[in-house]
Amino acid sequence: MRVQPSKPKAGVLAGCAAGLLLLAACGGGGGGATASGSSGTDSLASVAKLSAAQLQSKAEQEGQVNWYTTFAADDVDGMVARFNKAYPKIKVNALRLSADKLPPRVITEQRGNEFNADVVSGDAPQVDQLINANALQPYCPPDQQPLPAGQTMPKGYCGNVYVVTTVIVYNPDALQRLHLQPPKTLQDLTQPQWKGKFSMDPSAVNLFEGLINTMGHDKALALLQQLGDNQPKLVESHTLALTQVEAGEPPASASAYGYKSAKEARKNPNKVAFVNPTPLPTSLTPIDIARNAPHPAAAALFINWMTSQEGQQAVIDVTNHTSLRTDVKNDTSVWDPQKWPPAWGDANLSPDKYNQYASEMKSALHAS
Amino acid sequence: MIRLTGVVKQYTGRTTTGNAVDGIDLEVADGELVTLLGPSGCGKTTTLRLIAGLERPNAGQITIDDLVVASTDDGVFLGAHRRPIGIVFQSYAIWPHMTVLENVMFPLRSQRPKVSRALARSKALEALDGVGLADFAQRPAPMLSGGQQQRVALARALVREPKVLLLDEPLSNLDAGLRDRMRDEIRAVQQRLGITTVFVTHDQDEALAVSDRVIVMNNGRIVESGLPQEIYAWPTAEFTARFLGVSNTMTGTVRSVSGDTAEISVAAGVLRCRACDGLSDGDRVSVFMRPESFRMSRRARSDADWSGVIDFSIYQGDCWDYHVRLASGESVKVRVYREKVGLSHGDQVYLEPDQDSALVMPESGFARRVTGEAEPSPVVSPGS
Amino acid sequence: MTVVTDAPEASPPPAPAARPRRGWRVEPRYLILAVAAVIVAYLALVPLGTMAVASLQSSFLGTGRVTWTFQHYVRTFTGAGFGGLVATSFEYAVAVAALAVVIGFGLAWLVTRTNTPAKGFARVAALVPLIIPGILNTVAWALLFSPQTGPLNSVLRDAHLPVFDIYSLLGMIFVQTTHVTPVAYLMGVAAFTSMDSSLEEAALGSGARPARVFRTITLKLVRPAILSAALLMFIQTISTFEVPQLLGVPNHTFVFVSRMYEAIQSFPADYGTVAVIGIFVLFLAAVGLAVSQWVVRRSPTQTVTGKAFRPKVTDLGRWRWLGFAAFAVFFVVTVVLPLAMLLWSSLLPTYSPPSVQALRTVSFKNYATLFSSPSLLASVKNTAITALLAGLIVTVLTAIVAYITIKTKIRGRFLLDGLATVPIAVPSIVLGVGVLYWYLVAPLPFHLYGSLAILVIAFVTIGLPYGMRYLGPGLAQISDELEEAASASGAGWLQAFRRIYVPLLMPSLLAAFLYTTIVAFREISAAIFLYSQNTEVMSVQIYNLWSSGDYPVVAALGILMVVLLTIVVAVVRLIGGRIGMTEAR
Repeated sequence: MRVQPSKPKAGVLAGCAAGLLLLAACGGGGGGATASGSSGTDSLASVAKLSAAQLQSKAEQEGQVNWYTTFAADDVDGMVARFNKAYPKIKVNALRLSADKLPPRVITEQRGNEFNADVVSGDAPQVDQLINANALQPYCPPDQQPLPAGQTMPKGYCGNVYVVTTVIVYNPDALQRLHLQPPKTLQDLTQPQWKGKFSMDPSAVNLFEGLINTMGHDKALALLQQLGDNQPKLVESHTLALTQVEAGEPPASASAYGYKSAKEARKNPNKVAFVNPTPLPTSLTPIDIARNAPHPAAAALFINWMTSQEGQQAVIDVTNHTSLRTDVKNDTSVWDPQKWPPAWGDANLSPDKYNQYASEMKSALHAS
Repeated sequence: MIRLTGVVKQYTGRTTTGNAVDGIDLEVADGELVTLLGPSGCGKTTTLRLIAGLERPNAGQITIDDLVVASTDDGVFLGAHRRPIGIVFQSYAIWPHMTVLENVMFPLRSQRPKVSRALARSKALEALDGVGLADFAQRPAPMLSGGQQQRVALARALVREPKVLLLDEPLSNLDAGLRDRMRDEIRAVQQRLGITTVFVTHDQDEALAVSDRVIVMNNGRIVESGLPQEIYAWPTAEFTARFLGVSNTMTGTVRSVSGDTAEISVAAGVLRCRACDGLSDGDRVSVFMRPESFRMSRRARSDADWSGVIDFSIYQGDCWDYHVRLASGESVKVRVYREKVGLSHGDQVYLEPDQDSALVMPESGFARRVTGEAEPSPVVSPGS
Repeated sequence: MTVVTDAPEASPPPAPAARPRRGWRVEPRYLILAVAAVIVAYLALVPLGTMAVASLQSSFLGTGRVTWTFQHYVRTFTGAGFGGLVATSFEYAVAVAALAVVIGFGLAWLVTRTNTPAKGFARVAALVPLIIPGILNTVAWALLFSPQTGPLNSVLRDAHLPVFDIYSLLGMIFVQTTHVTPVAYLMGVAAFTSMDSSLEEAALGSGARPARVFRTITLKLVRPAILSAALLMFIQTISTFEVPQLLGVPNHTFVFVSRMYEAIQSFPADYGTVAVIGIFVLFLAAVGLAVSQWVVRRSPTQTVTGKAFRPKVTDLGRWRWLGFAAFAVFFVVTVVLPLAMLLWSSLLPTYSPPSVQALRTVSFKNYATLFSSPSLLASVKNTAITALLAGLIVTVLTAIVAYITIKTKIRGRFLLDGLATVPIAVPSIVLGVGVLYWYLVAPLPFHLYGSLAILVIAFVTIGLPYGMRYLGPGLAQISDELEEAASASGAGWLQAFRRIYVPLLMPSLLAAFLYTTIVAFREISAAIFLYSQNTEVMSVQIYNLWSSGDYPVVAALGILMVVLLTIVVAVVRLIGGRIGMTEAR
């Protein structure tokens, strides 16, 4: 470091402080202004009236679509390729985000009058929050299959790309080494021999919701607290949880998705095995159009394709996710409602409830 | 010709603000070599830098050959690159990333209009030849000795035939022997080209040796100016006297004035000396004596001799310097030439002052220069 | 300061009709200086300003009414766990700074002042952190020391020693120390080589024993350098993201950065907390800077002569083999182990610890995946563009700013110097968020969100202090008279700058360019907020792939990144070697 006289240095900080105030005026002014932007809605309304051929030509005019998604990173390219087989003239710009990072990103952009996202697909609780924050617009794809009995989506919203199940995953080799029996239920993981030997994703509100819907809020929370007291490793995403288990460290996880676990278990049975708990925490993965989407026709076309038979088959082929359509064939080791009755997460969660669950879950797992 | 009128340069330090150059009027005639002489911090380098255009004056006007290069009244300021000057710095400032030839070609290739590469090359070689360095043209500049770098700097300063040559303590980084040789060389080149030159130095010998005219500076002002021999022999200001090595100072009173001589009484005795104008009986005066202006002997030759005891002695080779404690308590320095065996501490001696060599000035100020102003502000000069 | 005209400075009012009115003629020199100064001030103030605003607004970026309040400060400082957060953060950063400085300066002393053999080891090892980004280093160590399966822990277990849990405060300290020690080492080498060993010889000549000389002279003389290094390590540690996030969070160990990241990622994002912690960290860093300035100023300045002395070499006798062992350990820990781990995992279809069995599955499939994935290739291209551009801009900007602060007497130059240094005290996370929000909300005529430009802006801001660290001292070593001589030779300012300063500064310019390019290359904490579709950079890809668990591809991409960085370093050093650049620090 250079030798410098000190006085100017002290002056610097004072100067900065002064500069901050100056900036404050500008920064604050811009922050509040949020365009209500009805033009996007209008064009979506007009888009909805178009015939399939008209929609396609309009979408091709737009030329591209920005897709904010929680699809796993290595699945995104595959999905885009399949879509482009059907519609080669539309470029898909995918932005892969983990479930908890999706809402802040969209909201922050829109608050800054930056309308960049066209299509948003993500876990139900988070997409719900975007709907509540008025960040999305209602759209129903024509070929969307009805939701399972008892499940509803917020009014006017229908698109759904897949359902995810949260399973318990473990590494058979590692368990053998550690002389542990494979866990069968979440309760097993609260036992002392599992202390510090499993991982959880503290932002997986859909797991918590599933538990609430089957055992009630207090019992569900108590279970989470017991799990939290057993010192789980915290992970940032379900996929990370799975690959860590696959690598043997930690040997098990309560936060893995069924579709991916099944895929990996087939590839590498000594390293990955999973248990579908009963009931099986399950949640929807809605797909919607963002408010003021810059490419509304392409967005609608993309969603139409994703929810169609062709698109859903692609989802199964590429990702091993579970589709709600009856005219496609799901992986039965992941999804068999007869065998493992689903415990559905609520796709109509109010912001207050969501925040309450999110913070309860975090503190139960000692994640902050 | 260079002319400075009322030039002021302010200097803002961390704690003080003052005038590094405090109202200078100065004229350097065509072909003249003028030395600015003074202690460090006296403003001489700042003055040179003002002439060069490396500093911007806060007041005043500077002209070079009738071209106004700086004038605060008219809002004119030409940067150094737009003035017809050549400059040699104390550090030579030879660009280390270029060869000797490239260094000397640089001014020709930088000026507007630009000189063609071929012509610049031949001119640069010619200039190098002039300082005896033609054989070194392709050498990287850092591989030269101090004296050679000095010559390169001179060649570079002269290559585009400037109207004015500015030399900022050009000899101070050289060894003693080389210094004299370079000094003579600079003087020879200057006279051969007849170029108007300002030479800044703190070394009186250098100043006396090379100058047509010496200007003594202190505290940002000109103390006095004159021919080297004048300045040396008859300084009219106390500052000059002290600076030029007149190291013995006494105070005294004028006893009588008659014709061009006056009798002054000092603590040690009485002095007769050539008077300055305007002295009258009873004036308090300062008396300056050079160390060589005494005759010293071991026995008193007359009652007027001052008696004293050797404090200590310093052998200088060609002379001895004695510090003599006088009976009156004052200490004077006496220089004695051609003495083989020195005196030593405690020896009794008698001093006879040379009657004509004492300088007398009124105690309250300078003889020729009327100041009358308030005390000069503290000077902190950035350069010298 | 910004506009200088030829107008009279102290003169009677001009006679109106006497001469044509002078326009405001602006010299190009001042125009360039002013533009650079404004850009730097803008870059430094934007994130700070946004952060300050966010800390004082009731709901930053909110839709409702915004009021000004101190509630975030009150809530954060009095909140449960804040004391613990501060304590953990300090434990972490202080331990890393202390370890890094002790080890770094110890090794530097061995290299510069002793006859320890095989100094090349240490020299190479010191360069490696430049090319292994922190996130890769962290991932590699997480795999190496993973409690159950990490190969190093298997060794410990076989030796009946307790295993080392990398997911702990100790683990964080260890990994961060391996990452920053080489920087401390380089600073130590600089300090020891610029120190005149005649000062030590004088002490020896006064009858002091060597140990006493070391304690009373050597250590005292390098104290300012030690302090600077410790402070830099502290600031870097407290503001980097990857180690606390990857190693601390899984085991519930939170420090400032991971707490901020968590607050940003929560929904709705808790901007107030983020900003308050950010301001708090900035305040800590500023206090640290002030203290170090104070100590440096009070220290003797002989060490900073800029001259290269021939340092005295101490004969360590048989102890030199211990020094050699230290080099070897340093080399293995900073270079061999992490790189080997990355290489190993990049060759596996799915990650598993090194074993003969796993060796059979080795293939280059991941690299094939890499080169067939358009988004990964695009990220390589984006990284190259943004990093090189940022390096170039920083170099140019800081060259001008360093010129202003060192070679001119323009008023406010120290303020400018301070502004260019400020980003070092701003955690990159805060900087990234600040930049993001500013370009989202500021009423600007241009549109940068989602473009590579916004990444470049962030990287340039982050790089400014590093550029200054190279160019400031570099410029200070060039005598003013060299420029003045050019000016007096008829060269205008631009010409003098180009023909005198640029060639003479070339080693520093290259070093600044190299280092800031590398900083941008590896930058993740800010980039993570600023990327968008089509503007992902490699570090973001690595983080995203890691967080979705794709270790093998992460490793392959990491190896690719290491190779690219090695090429950058090699090319610049090759050019640098030609023009006499000695050491890239």
